[in-house]
Amino acid sequence: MANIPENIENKLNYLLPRVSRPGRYTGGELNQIVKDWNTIPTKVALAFPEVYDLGMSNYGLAILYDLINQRSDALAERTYLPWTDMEELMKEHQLPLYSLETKHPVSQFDILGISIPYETLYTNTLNLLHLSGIPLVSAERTEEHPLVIAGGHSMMNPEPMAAFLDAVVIGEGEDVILEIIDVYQAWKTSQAPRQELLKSLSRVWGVYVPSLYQAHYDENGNLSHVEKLYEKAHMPVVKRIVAKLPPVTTKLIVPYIDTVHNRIPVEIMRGCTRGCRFCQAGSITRPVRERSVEETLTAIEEAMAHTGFEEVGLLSLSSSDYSQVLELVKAVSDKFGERALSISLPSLRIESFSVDLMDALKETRRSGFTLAPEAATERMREIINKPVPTQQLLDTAREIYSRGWNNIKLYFMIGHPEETLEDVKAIADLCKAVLKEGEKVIGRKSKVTAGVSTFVPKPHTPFQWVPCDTPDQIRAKQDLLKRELRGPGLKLNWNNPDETMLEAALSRGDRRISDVIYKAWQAGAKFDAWFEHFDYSRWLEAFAAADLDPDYYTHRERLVDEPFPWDHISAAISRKYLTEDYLMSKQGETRIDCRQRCYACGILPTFNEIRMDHPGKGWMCPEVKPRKKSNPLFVKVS
Amino acid sequence: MRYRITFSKTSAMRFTGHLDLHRTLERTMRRANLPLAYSQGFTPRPKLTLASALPLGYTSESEIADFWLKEEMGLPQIDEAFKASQPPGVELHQVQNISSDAPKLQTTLTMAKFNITLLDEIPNLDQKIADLLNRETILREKIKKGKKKISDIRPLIFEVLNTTPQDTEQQRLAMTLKAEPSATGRPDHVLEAMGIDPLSALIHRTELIFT
Repeated sequence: MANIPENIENKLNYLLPRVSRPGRYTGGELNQIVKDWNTIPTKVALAFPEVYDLGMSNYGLAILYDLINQRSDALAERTYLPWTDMEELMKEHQLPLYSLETKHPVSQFDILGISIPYETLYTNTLNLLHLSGIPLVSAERTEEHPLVIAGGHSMMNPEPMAAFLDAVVIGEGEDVILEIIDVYQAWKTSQAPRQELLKSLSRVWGVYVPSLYQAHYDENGNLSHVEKLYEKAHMPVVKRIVAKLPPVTTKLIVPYIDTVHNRIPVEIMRGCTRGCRFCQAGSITRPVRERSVEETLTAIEEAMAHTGFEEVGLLSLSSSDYSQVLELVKAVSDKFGERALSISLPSLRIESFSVDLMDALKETRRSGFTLAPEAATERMREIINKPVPTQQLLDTAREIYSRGWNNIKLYFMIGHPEETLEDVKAIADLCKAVLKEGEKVIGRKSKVTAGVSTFVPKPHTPFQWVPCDTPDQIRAKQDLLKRELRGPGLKLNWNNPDETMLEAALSRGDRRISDVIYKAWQAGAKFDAWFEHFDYSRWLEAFAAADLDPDYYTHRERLVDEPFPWDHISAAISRKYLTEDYLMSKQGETRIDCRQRCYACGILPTFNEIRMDHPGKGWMCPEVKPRKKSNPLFVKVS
Repeated sequence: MRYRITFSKTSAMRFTGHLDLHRTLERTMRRANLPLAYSQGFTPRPKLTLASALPLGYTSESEIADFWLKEEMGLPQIDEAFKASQPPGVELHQVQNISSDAPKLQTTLTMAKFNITLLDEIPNLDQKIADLLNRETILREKIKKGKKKISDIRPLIFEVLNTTPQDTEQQRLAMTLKAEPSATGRPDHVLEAMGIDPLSALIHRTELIFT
């Protein structure tokens, strides 16, 4: 039986009553966009390699869905991974992965775009291709198959996934996705072989075609360099950015079932000026660009009319650093409070989080309160470049408790470079000190939840050189916290060290890791981010079968001048800047917020012209003056 | 001001559960910009109650909900605003004024009627119905809060009819079951008692009957 939409619908009618949460698989929600399959030339399937509940909360894909569907010559539909019960039934009934909008098999689309924000989605990505009936390995695909592209934060080091992806978007997708569609259409008209498509794509700013590059290793198995095989391909591949935050997507799909973030997302700021050394997002999303209060309010108004959502998430990496944060929060509660719209303002920074802002937030409903000191001693905070005086944290906590919030969540990381057991014990002491502040104002109702994750060094950050803690070190630190952090009002959450090991090995991996991912998937690895599915032993076996040592990737301190697998991928943050910052961390030297002083991280030299074309406060970087031709009559004296 | 709506929940929303349906209605009314009355407290919710939870996978043409507005609005205006905002799978049939001291919907509900389409051919359907109705007790085991509990569903069944039309291939049943807050009959349980797999049936609620 051919896999036409009607047959897929029929099979679904039979299968859906037999699976958990069937609402994940139906589509048909309010505001989904259904275009005419037969007349639209270019069809794009947008995939998040996780279940619907998580995938529907991915803001990036919602933007791309909107942008592609605005084109009259292209359509975008959604697809997510089935949960294991549905996967089994789909296999049993030969039902391929299909799109939610029109129930077409994913394999019938022209382009499959996959969002891969984090490493534990790698095996899911392979599973997604497998369930779609698309060859997993890029080299095995032909003109008959969709073009498989990916993007997202983890793709700032695309090398571990190099074997599986035809092309990778480095950086921001809004503009480049449209150019990729243009290139695809031109190629399709030309009827040239698939290789020509890949070559054309490699010339687009921000597109990386892994098969057009080759990695070379020395006799010891260390990476020596990466060579491009096609002369016109970029070297390095510089990340794509948009000069200005694109208009907010307001006609959002309203799910019929509960999802992780069931709300209006409005990105108020992209990038971060703080330069915390562990933070990859802060590094790779520069420059900092803000959206105006006015534009944000209009967007919320529109989105409320389209969706009826009860909550707005004002998204950014560091909301309280948004220059108009107080005005914005006040305006949102004034304008929409009557209609019971609650505000979620994630990622508040202790030092820029004012009492006034607390008062403004108090007006709208909000459950817990989260602060992220990341480390508990001032020495550690200097090493990671997140210097906040402990007293300021305690003062802030007291103010929060006194405004009616009973539970403060504190996020910490263990495993920072140079961390000792004293630094870890200080986490417990600090939590207790915060709780004490709460008890002063609201008594025994006060609670502290400590979320303690383990630091994983990431590419394109000043900590890309540092070894990750070993499982023994992590367990010793976690055991210490479990002993110290008990008592009424205290709660501790931590990560499974094995998951940390996997994330660490994958995030700084090279191309040879593709084989490990393939073997792990073959052995049954999927949903690695789910505690009940994750099995590290499969991965250890896969490493052994691929003749690779995970410790080489996780626990080794890299030489300062060592070639990295992602050196040919540029986040526009120069290696010189990162090296400097890494060496500064070893001295405990900090760098303040770069809005106050530019440290020449590399953004302005790379995007000089864009900044010149977009002067003013939209960017937090200093203004760039047009380069004048030197005038021989004047000699510059410095 | 209290109002009552009757609406259908069709196949597009077949797999939306009770709580999610609740939220879908709330959002519909928020999009419609109705001046909703909200509950007091830290997390205000619109005042809205549904007469009877519809099990996952069922469709219905007779869902009933009461809601409250802060200010009075004409019925045609509510009707128009709601219909302009209803999502695929929800269709408003009627909106009425209800006295604010009228009893709660759930407490006056007595019975519910269902139409059932059987996807697999069931031999001797009439005999199966007769056997079912002839039984004095139909015991069903359920696990509630980790404890096994045996209940008799026979008193919950008022009527089961074979309504298969002459000219169709698929067999049909009509059922009338008790629907009181403490004793609600479920068509899937009745089908199971008849030896029919409820997963191979399309169950549709046609009517809610109140005192």
